[in-house]
Amino acid sequence: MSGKDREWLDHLHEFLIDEIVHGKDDEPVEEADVKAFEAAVAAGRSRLARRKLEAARRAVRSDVFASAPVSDLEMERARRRLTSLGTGANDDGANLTLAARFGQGGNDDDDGMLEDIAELERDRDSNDR
Amino acid sequence: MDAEAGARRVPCSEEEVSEFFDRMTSAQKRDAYRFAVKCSATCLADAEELINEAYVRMCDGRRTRRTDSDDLFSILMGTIKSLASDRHFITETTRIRRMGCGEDRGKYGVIERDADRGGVALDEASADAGDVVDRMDPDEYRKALLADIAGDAELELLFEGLSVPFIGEDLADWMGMDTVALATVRRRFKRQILQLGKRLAEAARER
Repeated sequence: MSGKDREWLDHLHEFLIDEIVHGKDDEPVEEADVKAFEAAVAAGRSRLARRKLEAARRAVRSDVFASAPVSDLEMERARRRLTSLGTGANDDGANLTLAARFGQGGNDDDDGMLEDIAELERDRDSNDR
Repeated sequence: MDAEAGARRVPCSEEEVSEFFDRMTSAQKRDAYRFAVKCSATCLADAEELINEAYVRMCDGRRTRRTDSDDLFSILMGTIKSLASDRHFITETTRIRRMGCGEDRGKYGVIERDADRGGVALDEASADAGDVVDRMDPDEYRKALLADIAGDAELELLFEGLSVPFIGEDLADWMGMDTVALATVRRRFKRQILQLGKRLAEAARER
């Protein structure tokens, strides 16, 4: 059925809307209709709340995983920091000590630890600014 | 140009929509529900689904209102009407219902259970492929409406005039009535259409 063929249905709906919104009708209200309407709206409210919750979850996830990759320069700084922590020399990064010393027992994931330290340094630098 | 043509439109906000639904009168709720039931007779969604979706779309700003009016009742009705004529609006519930109907039995595959809602998630691609082939054809609806008002000369004449479409004074001239007499016929016609919609929707549910 083409759009032209169903124009009359659109006109009929327009008439109904106009009559319902502007017409006067004192027909008694059936409670069942009111309850059915309210149930449908309650379902809409609940669906909207679920969607918002899901959007908030996605936003948190994307925020958590959005940190920029660690650069070579930051890795080199982290390596130096790790060495200095290992020798106990001039430890001005005491707040990094705990993370660094996890590596002293010979952690297999050295690069992972260096990345962690680099990110901690980056966070500290941005907090100092 | 009049003020109406000059009025800007802005998206409805969630706050104002929620507030509007809270303060709707019982008569408005009744009318909106019956209108949705009537619309559901010629579309695949239930009245509840049309209202539910209209609420969500109004809240998330997909519907606009005029800046010089805060009455959202006509916006709600217009949204229900748009959804009912939107070929792409097929709700999940309807898709599930269609899985077990006639020749289409088994056409749409259930792929997983939706843990959050206790419902069933479908293979969307295959469900969409079916589109809206089994909605009640508007032509069938027209026949049912004409049969329902057959013999009532005033309603037949009004339906003919509305289909042109005549409105306002043109409609009164067409009907050969003053506005008071026309208001009575309009109200009678509205009630009859809504009653017919209810009967058709009930019959569709039983199929």
